[in-house]
Amino acid sequence: MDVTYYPGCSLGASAKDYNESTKAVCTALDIRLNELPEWTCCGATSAHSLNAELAISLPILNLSRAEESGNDMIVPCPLCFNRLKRAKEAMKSYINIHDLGSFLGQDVILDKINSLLKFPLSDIKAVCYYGCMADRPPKVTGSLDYENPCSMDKIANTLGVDVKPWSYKTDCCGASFSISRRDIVYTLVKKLYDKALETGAECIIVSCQMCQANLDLYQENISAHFGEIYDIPIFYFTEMIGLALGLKGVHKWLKRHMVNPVPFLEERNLLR
Amino acid sequence: MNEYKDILKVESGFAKRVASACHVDIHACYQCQKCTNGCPVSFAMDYHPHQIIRMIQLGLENEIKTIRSIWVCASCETCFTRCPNEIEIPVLMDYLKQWVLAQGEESVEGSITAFHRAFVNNIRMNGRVHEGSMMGDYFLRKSIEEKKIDINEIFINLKLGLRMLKRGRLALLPERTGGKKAVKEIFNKVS
Repeated sequence: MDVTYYPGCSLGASAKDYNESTKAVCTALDIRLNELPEWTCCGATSAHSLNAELAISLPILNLSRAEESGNDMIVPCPLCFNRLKRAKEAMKSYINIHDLGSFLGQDVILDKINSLLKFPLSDIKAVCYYGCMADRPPKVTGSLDYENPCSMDKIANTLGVDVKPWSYKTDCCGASFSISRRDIVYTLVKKLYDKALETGAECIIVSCQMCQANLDLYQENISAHFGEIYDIPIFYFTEMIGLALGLKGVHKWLKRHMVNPVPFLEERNLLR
Repeated sequence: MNEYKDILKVESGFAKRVASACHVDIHACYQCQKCTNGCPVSFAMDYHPHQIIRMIQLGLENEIKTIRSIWVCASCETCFTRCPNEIEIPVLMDYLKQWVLAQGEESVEGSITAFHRAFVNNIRMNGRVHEGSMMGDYFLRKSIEEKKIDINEIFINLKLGLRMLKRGRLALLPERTGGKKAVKEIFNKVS
């Protein structure tokens, strides 16, 4: 299967682990990712905050390029996905745009994952945290389960993870406020930690690199700020797939986390 | 009766002007408060979404200029997803941010405005956002907006940046893209 891959700006740097694990997982699943040539920033939150015309022109530029190949487009970053979907509507593009989580959560892909499963992750209790942009607003994303998305839950279940249900799947993490208003992110993320732990979960699985950054990079700061000790590994769902399929490079991705997940995984005999 | 005349200045036609400028159906709001109740950042707001809509409906143009909420809105789209009348509040918030800046008013949330400007400036310069230089630009703008240098904040981010660099999560140089020229053209065309 040939698809166009639009990584987005974060995946080159702060979300390198997401980029690496996505590429490894897609290779294992025979999904050939062709990075969109000469892709440029989608504009994210800041563009639409300052200028509506700029905000729609930036993703339209990328979608016009994608029409040169015509393949379906896979987008790991939910914010880029959201902006590109709006561009699709604005320019009436024929390109099918998928957010990575929903794409890999399709039954046909889950069957493939199941057939390649080597090391079931049965000793992991986790909640799946989706964030905002992959499902909201449904008018833009086309999501049907926007109050209770399940694609990551299905993937995690297939991998053998003990997935805990919780009511905070799509509660905002504060996104870019981690730089301009860290206090807001601290409050939002502490709530997510507490609610996740309440379910009995020991780690959080995410499908958005902004969420991963807010939950992982600042965990020590948040612990200090509230006088608590949080030690909750934050995994990309693609890293979980990589672990369960025994893919090469897992160690490299995991070493990039701020909250070290290695002891957590070694305790459960999941690191080879 | 003179002492009452300056309490609330009502701009008639304000609601109509805003609604037609941003294509948001402000008049359809009947204050059910679903937006405010679902808003994750309502704790950080001075006026809540349903109150802001009510203020616009009532023509309180001056009061809108100094509201923090329009900046603190996280664009999470929860309000719009749940509004029974499909009032696109996130678009309204964006419009109000742009409207406040277009009036020449200073933003009441200097660091948030500085961040957006630094981000967009980086897109213009590199075609993609280079997080490293964007942060530098952000702190410069933030210092100018707030008229002080937040040494503590800079130090915390430098420390984080170094730890990220150690883990390979920080690129020292921007990625190059052939699309940079097309992006510059977009910036030139857009008002």
